Amino acid sequence: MQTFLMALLQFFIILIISPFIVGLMQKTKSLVRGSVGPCVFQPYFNILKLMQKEVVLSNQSSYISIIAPYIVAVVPITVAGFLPVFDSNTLMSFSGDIIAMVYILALGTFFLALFGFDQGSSFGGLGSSREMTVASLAEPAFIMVIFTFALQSNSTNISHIFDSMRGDIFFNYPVSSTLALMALYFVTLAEAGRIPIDNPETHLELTMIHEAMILDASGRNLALLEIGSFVKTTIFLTLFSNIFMPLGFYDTNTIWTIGFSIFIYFIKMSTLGVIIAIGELTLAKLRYFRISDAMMFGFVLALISMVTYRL
Amino acid sequence: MLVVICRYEMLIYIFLMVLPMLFFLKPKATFIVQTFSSLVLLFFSAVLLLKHEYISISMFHSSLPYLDFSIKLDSLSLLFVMIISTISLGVSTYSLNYVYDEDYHHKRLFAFIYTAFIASLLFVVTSFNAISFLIFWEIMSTLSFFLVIYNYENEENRQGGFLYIFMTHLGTAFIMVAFILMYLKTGSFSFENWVHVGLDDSTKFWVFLCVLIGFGTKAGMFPLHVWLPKAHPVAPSNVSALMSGVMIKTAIYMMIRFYFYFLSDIPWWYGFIVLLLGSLSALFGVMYALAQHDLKRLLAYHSIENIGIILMGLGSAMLFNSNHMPLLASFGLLAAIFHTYNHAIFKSLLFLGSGATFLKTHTKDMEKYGGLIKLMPYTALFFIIGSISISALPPFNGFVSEWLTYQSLLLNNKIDINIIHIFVPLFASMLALTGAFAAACFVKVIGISFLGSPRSDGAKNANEVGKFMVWGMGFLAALCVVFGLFPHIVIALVAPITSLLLGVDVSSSTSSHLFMISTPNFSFGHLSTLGLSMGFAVGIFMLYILIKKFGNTKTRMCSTWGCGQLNNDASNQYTASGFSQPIRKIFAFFYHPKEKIYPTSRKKKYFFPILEYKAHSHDGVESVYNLVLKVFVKSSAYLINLIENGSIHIYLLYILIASIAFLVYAVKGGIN
Amino acid sequence: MFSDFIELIGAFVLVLAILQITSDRLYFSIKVYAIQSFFVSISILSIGIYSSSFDLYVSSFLTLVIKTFIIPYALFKTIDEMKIKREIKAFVNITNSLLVISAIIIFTFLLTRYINIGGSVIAKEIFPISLSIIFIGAFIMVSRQKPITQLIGFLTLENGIMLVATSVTYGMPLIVEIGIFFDVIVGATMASLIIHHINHDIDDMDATSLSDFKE
Repeated sequence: MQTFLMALLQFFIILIISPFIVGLMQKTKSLVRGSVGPCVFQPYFNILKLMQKEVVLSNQSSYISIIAPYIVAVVPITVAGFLPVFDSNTLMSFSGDIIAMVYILALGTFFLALFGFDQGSSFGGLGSSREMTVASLAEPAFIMVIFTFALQSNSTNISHIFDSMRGDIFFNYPVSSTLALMALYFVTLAEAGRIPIDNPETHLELTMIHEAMILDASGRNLALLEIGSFVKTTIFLTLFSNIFMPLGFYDTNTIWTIGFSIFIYFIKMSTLGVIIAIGELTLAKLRYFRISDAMMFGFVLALISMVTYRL
Repeated sequence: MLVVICRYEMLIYIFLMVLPMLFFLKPKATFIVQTFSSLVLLFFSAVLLLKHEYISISMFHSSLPYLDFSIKLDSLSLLFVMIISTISLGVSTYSLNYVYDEDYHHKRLFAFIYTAFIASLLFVVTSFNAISFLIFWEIMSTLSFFLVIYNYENEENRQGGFLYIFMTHLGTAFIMVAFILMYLKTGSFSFENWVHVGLDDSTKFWVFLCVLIGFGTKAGMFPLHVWLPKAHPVAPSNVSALMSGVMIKTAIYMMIRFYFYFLSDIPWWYGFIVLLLGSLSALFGVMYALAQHDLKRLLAYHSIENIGIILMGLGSAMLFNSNHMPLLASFGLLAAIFHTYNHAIFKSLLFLGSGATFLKTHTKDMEKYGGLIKLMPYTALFFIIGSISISALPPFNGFVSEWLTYQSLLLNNKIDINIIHIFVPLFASMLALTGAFAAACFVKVIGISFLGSPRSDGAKNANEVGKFMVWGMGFLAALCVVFGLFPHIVIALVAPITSLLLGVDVSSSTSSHLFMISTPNFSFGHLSTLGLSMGFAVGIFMLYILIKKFGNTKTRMCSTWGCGQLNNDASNQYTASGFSQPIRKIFAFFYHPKEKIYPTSRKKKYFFPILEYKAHSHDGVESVYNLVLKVFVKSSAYLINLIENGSIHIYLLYILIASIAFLVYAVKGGIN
Repeated sequence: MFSDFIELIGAFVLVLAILQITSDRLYFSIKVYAIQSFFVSISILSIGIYSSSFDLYVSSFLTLVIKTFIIPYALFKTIDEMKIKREIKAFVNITNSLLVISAIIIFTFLLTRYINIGGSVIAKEIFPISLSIIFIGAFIMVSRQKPITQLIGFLTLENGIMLVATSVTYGMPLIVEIGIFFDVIVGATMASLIIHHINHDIDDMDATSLSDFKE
């Protein structure tokens, strides 16, 4: 019973913290640019506001527009059930491992791209085409990084990887893990749609990748798609922080250690959010046909990390 | 002298296989009987397989030397009989309407060849004698050739059929060489005498190579795949479904039989070559598929990709087998065979769907489709289910078999060879890239064909197809879902095969826990698609409740936003070439694209030109073939011209020289 | 523990060498080279502290001064004076170069697996990493058109040699090292002068046009 409660608690923490992280990134960018910027809790208010508006659909849309937002929202939420925040017991660890996680996220991208097509406008197709290309190019790097972890921890179960990373794997293979971290950073930027891959604040359709697919969404559909995007960003940051920065975990589970672990997790995620925001400020968005070079570079990094581990 | 030895079950089997051919005078009856006979065969084989009962008969010991027919139904054959029956069940149901709606001429001929084709497929996988195998293999190839060029009026169809029959005979030549090598070693043509025969290293290598090339040609492995994208699109859709779903799997059947049942103690690098060729096929197949806008050609290229994935599982099983790890080898074999079954199901489903759209819109070009999801809802739904399965997305069956392939690749690191340690993760990344590209390709297909608004009159006037076609497709789509949620069924069917070939029961290690499938070492990884689906369902339910309580559930429809302009034109939407343009540009070194923009009407060329854009990316392997053939034909034509130049004096000179040479030879022989 | 640190620095140098392939801007290339030399000097310094050898202190200081400050400064000046277009044209485009580089790295790691490095070495894993850096430097020299980038490729190659020499064999004798430094300075100076003259006389910076001199 206790493990079930812990798992449930981890699941809800990830869900609740996700809009906050995105809001924090936005606030950091505004502060550094010199403006006051929106409040850190703005994304929560955005979701509430959007849920209360009605949905406008195109005449050419079909039932895909009705079911796709639900699937796009539910997919990262299910993956959040896989990730350990401060304890190895997760809600869905019996039903999948890290390879399943990659493909479940691909299911979300698939339906998001279909949603883009369904509105019958040209921007939807534009967004879908670019998003599928970028996601395909990020996959090999991601799988290579995952393979490195899986081979190091001798398991593909996320909880086991988490446990062994927490143990001493990170210090046994520092070169390999550092390079894998850098490769994972590239993949995170691609999947979460941040500069230098995609600008989440752009208003120009020709520069959009993720935004173009949800251009025609409104009301509760947009709320669901935004929830999906927030939780996906948080998932990647959690993966990054919990596997690479194995600090703040304790073996015993008293109320104090749990609280302290949650606090450390919160600090780690905020730090990572601020780092990504500062990265967004200092770099320029890459030209679209340079994204493949960046992803290939990430793949080469992952390849070196695997090679230095094996040999 | 004819000696017939058989048991009554075998008689029922053969009767069921041959029965539908007898009804060809009434094509409707033929298809109905085919459906029922497939259904009975399916259940019969499943029962026999699960009860581990194998029947064998040897009939027709005729007086001609080496000519016996023998048939044995062991576990591998039974599973492939099941695969063939499943697909023929769906396709025959579909054909009931399809043949009549397409209004083919010579329907009786079509029905006869069709049922004879299925019968020959069944006999191929159950033959246990090299001669009978070759005879049925040839019958299968020839009958499929006739089916491919069924619409022979079109020049393109004839060319596709010709390339197909040429390549398949090339493959058959290599198969014959392999069989003859085995015969020379064992002295008999019966497969019974070939089990685990010990060959010396060089013979083993030549047998391996000939089997790889011969059966690889039939399976559509890179680089012998050039016939697939030409032959499968031009055939009638139910025939394409059968060919792509089942016929290329018979080559995989024989490869499994050779590499696991006949040969023994194979060196590890055989498996590595199969793995390498599998990854290359997968990557090449999917990349060429992305550049296509003809729906059936795209599906044909995807067959190449999936054969690559099957070969990857097979190669990894061979690697384990060479290192004496039978448990892990059985796991790799499970991945390969599971994917074979899955691919048969969803590829046939997709081909049947493309046949339905072709029937109603009269064009194969995706660029002219659009908005079909509202006009053909059932076809669209089943096609979407098939696409989700082929993109290996959870919770359907493609995901399970691809997960199994990944795990078997990961487990390869337990083998202690350096090259494997480095290259197998590289192959796994190539598999990941393939999977992602396949998803992108099917987003393109569904988005452009089914969503949006119709781009041509043909698409505007489409309506739903007849009910038997819908049932045929629905059956296959239901199987996709069932095999995805309950993979234990297929694992239980594959377990007798691994017991036979490797001596290990894979189901006890893989499906040991309820509703979870796992790798042989349970803690390495496990998966439960049922759990995932329940998680999805709970999540969707929670979100729905949340929206009902806090949100607004109204919906309003209006016309599409077109940036301020009235956007009623369907040509504002994205096109298939436009969708794949980023990938074609990024990988331009691979596609060698030739792009042309030219004005179509000469009248207004300088003021208001109507431009047409044509992009063509051709198959690099085909150009290599063309070059080699060109050089070969040119040089042999030159030589032949030199020798046979039509002058009677020169021919008399040849005769004179030959006689003198024989005289010298005879005298020399006499001197010695 | 110490060998892990050295390996980590070596991995960063390798990553920076790969980063030079991914961009087509000259300023960026030179900056990356400067950071790369900085890491190399840190690596030499730490080995010097670990083994308390005076030679390594000197060579680390020399690397820092010459390769991190003087040579990049000279290169910046050359570019500014010439007012050339600051893009690097290449024979092999970036995506293909990255594929070739990954093949080179895999090949190097496989090759060095079979070499047994005996004796007292600090960090065995540096050997394949530095060999890869050497090959990458050679690849940059082969596949880029402008002489400045060829020079940078040569300098990367130098860095790789320095790395492997200090980590595997505790550095070469000091005389040899000073000689190498001198050669590098003279080489860079002469290359800048020649480039300046080529630009002045021919007004075009492509090394491919040098082959027109054949006739």
